[in-house]
Amino acid sequence: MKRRWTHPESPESQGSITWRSEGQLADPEEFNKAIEREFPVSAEMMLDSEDAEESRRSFLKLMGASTALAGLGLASCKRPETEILPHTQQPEWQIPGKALYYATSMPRSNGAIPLVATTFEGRPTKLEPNKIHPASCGTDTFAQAAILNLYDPARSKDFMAKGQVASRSDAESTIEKLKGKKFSVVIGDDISPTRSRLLKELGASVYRYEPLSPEGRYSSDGKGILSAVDFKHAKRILSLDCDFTELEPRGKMKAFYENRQPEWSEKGDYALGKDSHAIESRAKNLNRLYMAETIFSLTGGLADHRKRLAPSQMPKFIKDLKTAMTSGSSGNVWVDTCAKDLLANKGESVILLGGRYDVSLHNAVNELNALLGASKQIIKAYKSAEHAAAKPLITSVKECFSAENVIWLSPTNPAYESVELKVAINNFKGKFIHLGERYDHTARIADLHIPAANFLESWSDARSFDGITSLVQPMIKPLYAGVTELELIIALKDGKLHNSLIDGVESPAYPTIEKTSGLSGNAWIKARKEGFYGKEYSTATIKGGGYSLAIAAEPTKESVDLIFATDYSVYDGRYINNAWLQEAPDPVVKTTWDNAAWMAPSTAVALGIFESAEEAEELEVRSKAGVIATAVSAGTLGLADIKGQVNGGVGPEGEAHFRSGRLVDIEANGKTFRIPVIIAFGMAENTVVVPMGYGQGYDENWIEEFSIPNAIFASNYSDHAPDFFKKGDYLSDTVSPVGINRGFDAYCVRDNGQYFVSGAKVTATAGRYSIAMTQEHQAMYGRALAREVSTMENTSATIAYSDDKQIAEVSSKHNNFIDQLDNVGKQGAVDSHAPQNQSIYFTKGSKTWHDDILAGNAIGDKKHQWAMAIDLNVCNGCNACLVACQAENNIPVVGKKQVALGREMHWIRMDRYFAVYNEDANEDYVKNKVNKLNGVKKEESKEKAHGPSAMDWDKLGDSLEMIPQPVACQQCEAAPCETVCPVNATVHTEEGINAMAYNRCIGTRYCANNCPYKARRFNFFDYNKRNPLLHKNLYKGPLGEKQVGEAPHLQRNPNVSVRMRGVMEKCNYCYQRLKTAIVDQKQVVKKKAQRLGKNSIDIEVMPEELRAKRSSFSVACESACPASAITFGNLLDPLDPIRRIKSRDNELFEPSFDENGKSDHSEDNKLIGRSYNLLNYVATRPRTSYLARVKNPNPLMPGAKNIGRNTVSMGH
Amino acid sequence: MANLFPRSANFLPFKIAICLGFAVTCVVVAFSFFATDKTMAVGYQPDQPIPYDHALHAGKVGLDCRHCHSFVDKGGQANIPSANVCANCHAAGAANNVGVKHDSPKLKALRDALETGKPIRWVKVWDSPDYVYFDHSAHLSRGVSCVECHGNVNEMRVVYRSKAHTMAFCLDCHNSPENHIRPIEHVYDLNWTAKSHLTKAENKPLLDKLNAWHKVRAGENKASVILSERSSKKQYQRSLGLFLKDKHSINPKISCQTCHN
Repeated sequence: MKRRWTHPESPESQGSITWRSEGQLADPEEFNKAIEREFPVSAEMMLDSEDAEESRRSFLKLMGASTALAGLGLASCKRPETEILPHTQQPEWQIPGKALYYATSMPRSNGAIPLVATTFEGRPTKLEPNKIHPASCGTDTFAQAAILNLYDPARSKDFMAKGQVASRSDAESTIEKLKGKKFSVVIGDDISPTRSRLLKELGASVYRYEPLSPEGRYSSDGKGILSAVDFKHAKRILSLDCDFTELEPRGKMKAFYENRQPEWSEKGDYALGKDSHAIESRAKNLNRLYMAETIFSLTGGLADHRKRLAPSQMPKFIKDLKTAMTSGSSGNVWVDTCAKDLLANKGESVILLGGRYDVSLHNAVNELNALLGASKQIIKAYKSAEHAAAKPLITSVKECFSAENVIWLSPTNPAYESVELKVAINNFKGKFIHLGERYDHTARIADLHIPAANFLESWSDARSFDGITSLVQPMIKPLYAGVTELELIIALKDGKLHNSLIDGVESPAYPTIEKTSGLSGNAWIKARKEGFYGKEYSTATIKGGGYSLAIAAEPTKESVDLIFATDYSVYDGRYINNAWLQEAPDPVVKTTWDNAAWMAPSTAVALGIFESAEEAEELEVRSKAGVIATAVSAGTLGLADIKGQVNGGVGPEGEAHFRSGRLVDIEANGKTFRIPVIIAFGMAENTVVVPMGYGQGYDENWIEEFSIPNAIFASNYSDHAPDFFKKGDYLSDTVSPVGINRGFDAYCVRDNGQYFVSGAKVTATAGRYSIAMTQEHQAMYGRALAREVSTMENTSATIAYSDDKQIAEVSSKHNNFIDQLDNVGKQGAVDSHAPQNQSIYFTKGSKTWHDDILAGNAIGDKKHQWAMAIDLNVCNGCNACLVACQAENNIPVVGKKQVALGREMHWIRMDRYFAVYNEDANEDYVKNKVNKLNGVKKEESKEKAHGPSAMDWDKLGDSLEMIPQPVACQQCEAAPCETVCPVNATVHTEEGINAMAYNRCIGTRYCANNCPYKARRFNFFDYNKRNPLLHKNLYKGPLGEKQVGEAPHLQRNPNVSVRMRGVMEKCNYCYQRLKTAIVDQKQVVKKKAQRLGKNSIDIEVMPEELRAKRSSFSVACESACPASAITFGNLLDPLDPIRRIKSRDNELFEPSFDENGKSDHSEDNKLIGRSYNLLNYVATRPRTSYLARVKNPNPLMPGAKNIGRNTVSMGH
Repeated sequence: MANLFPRSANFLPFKIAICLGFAVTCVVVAFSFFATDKTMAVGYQPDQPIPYDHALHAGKVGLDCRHCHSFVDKGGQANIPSANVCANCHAAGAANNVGVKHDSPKLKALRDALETGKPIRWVKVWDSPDYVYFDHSAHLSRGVSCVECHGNVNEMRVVYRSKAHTMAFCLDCHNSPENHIRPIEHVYDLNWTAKSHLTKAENKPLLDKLNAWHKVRAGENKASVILSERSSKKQYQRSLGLFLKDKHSINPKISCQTCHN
């Protein structure tokens, strides 16, 4: 039976409203019903009648077929004979079944990412950050997902000439003929010393091109000058639309995160523990992040103060900032206060501007940085001759295409990204040679397309952001005989192209990079082992000045600002074929598999997207048909106060396959494109953000995405598809089944190099487009899920009730930072009343629980008890853990339709909450409530604390906060899932992990239903066996196309079971990794006997000696996290960092006992103030704990008292 | 009163009884079949591309298991040797120019492999299901001998499946490891038994030490075995096993995740 949790009533004194989606804001009651359900409504329905018919028929067919086969099938009772094929010559180091680790690095535009690749029998399966590399900043989502690109079965495999397959020998002779000719070479933004050296020797003119590169920053910093920020000494940071924690890294981020941790000391994270004096003084040194941006970026979510700003208003903002910094007051309070704070911390403050803004704005910001002293102390400027040697292509297209031959090495797709470049390539008289991993738009029109090798198949080198040379080492021979950049350049010089298909011939790139390094012997071996060599770039200085700030008019609804944004999933479009990235929900808006135009609710209403005369009529018709989706005009909140449900859906736009976005036409630069709209919060008004890189290939099935079940225009939906599609003006083989029919292309209206365009026009159309969003999926019901504290003193009003439920006292309390830290556990006023549950691991409640004999009777293992802590303070919600988990644990992708039905399989999901707090309103609210309740019994008042109703959105819009929260299985000690499993398929291990025995699971899904954290995932289909990305493939049963044996299966981790249809799965703390460490430690008997020179029978080994060393294991999410937000460890190891957060006994408290032997659970004994357990009051004793977010607001800033006050609760 | 049932109904009970009987028989036969070693294909003895004789190599010549299965104590899988390992003795000119039987027709597969670089296709004898994660090195380093699972391979001319590797077989040892473990020095000695070891004259001090240890344990009311000359093989094993289990902190786990991941 499903356990009904009694959630405590929402605390009275809460002034914050929190939400996951606009649907929840519009109709909290409906949302409450929704989160009680495990899956979206109607997820069980057939998509349409055609499907239903098809499925009925195929069922009958299969029944017939299986009966017929049953007779023949007896032959299959015999065990299949399997073979073992050992090597003929055993390769060095390789042990079957054991992972080998090699250092390599991923060339990227903001500096190479140093990596360690895990390989099994020569197959790379997983990428981890190379932590010994001095420039290591962890990994991001793209680095974690890069391994899947290697195994993409749709990678380019053939040489092509003008769209026709060319033989290798033809291609080789074409290249041979180019020897000695003049070249223009176009490279990406990454920097490779060897490539630069070879191109110089070749005498080629070099251009660099990436469609979304931070060209403004590059050119303002001066020729060949790159910069990074020394976050260790940056105490005040003003970021102007610069997502420096994610998409636009500016140097080593570790120090930035450390400076946000109140308990950090030189000894490590959380080292200060509960030392209130040390924390108080540290609180003064925490960094403060100001952010002015258009839409929430991941960095903006971390910001202490955030200002919404349309991109066209950036010059005015910078001008105001300059005025405030030089002459006192600009009239803008936010800017003035911020400027004052920056100036007060001269030498420790810095201003960062988004790289894609104009060079003149960068010059202005450089000047301001000079004023702050940041140019010298905080910003490290590096001089890179290699960067200087490449001219930006967008300003010299003519020059580039006037050479005899153009060699395209940049990992981009110019024929898709830029009309100008497409025309230039088409009209080019000489030979256009294209090296690329995909057979894309550019490859089709190239004179010669050469299939490129992935970086995991290549010998090369690449500079990290500070100039240290990282080696790119091959993990595997090119799977599809791809050619590397260096091999092609060498071939242009020597006339001979290396062929990796010929055995025993070394790539010529290898001696070339060795030559570049100038290293030999042991030094070169060391460089290859560690993955890097060399020193940083030499330093330089950045000069400001030489700019003019043109003030633009504010955007209006008739003339909006349209931003061409970099996408968190496909970047600039290059990862369109990467299924992990496509399925990872956008960290801010939570869309998967598609892009959309994002706009603020008020903009959407103003533009008539939710309220137009025609739609009103339609809506009326629909409501008569039982489908109501009424959009009412903006309420006092300025939000689209949308009341509606579609067949019980939670949002105004429905859920599951009803979820759709209204299509709009956006006109910019004189061209128009069509795209659906999605509401995004925290956006500047009258701005539209469109992520780039989608819409690269379509087929005829795309039209179905325009058909929304039960919409009145369901019959003529095909009219709403974009014109180019109706005309058939599209390509379908430029992308793999992963990238086909994915979203809408906005490059078609963009001019080269544009970051945004003003004066765009948005016109609503009548059509809709289906969108798979995860923001309402797996929503937890409960109190105080995510918590915040502020370094600023605040006051809290509380209502105390007497025993007979009468209001006894209304008090207001002043809480300084330390008080707030101490009260994290009581936040939301729910946990303090929670009864402690018994642990099944240690007998407790008496002094003797740590007595050896008694402890021995408990079922726990004496060597390992695993636990985790997730720090919300530094988590920016970037999805790196989510993708790392997918790579490590063989988690399948399920495709857009299945995601829409809530069937995504990610073991870690990234919850994202929006929250606002209004202290004034809160005080009023409490007063009102007291007046109202005086003499009234508490229980009789059913009024819910949704917070103040008359909030002024415009005032609070800037104090809107975005709080991400990664949630995986919490490994409860008293796990609700275990008690309901009828077959004991989910049980506890001796080491405290809630394990799944897949082979026992019969798929009742009771466990998922009973999980208060909604952390369990069910295999509705054989996602691993049948390709879920082919049209309707999953519904074809055994007749569907299989994907077993395709290249992506080579990526599978051999130590993790691949799950089949009908079983439940979830996080198991990467037990395969822990087990490897445990098994390795078992060698201790042998080693000890050898060391002591004794027989094994004469030596003793204590359990502690069999404990895996802390350095020998890490879980995938922990090691992927660039912010070190995840701490994992062994509770029984006194030196494990997890012990700074949790006790040996899985408590957040220091174990201590009073004279009666009762352990003390008071908040005073907590190991670290910020820790709390998720849904502590349901008494599950989770092994995973959370740490609250800390905001460091500037007390002088308007609305500062509303910052860092949120407690996220969901449901009644 | 009219006949409620037609005449044919008279035979219905018999028909039902026959059907039920048939069903019960089927179930019994099925269960008995799956309870036998036949299910686990005990005795499975496939033909190998090279008729490798374990009795000769491991028994007569006395090669250590690790000579060929070289990573068995280092990794999870006990590897089949690569062709170059065979070639160390059997290639023409190998082994001090002897090249043991280098031109034997039985070694054709080896010569082909060395020549072409294509691997020898050995047939798998032992096979655990994909969802079972068994780590050889973990067991060897805790004193579980090869012989416990694979039988006396050193006596097999053609290797065959000698035991049924059921889950009960695994759990039997995980529940009471003392009946199966030995000092790690002897795990590759397939003829070793606790009795033959402890009854050796030079091991008398060890035997006394064991007995003394068990006497103390008996006093603590813990499982103990005092050995005498009349003790059985099993008792010797148990006595030594309990000692090792305690001294080496051997505590095998039995929860699902131990083997299924």
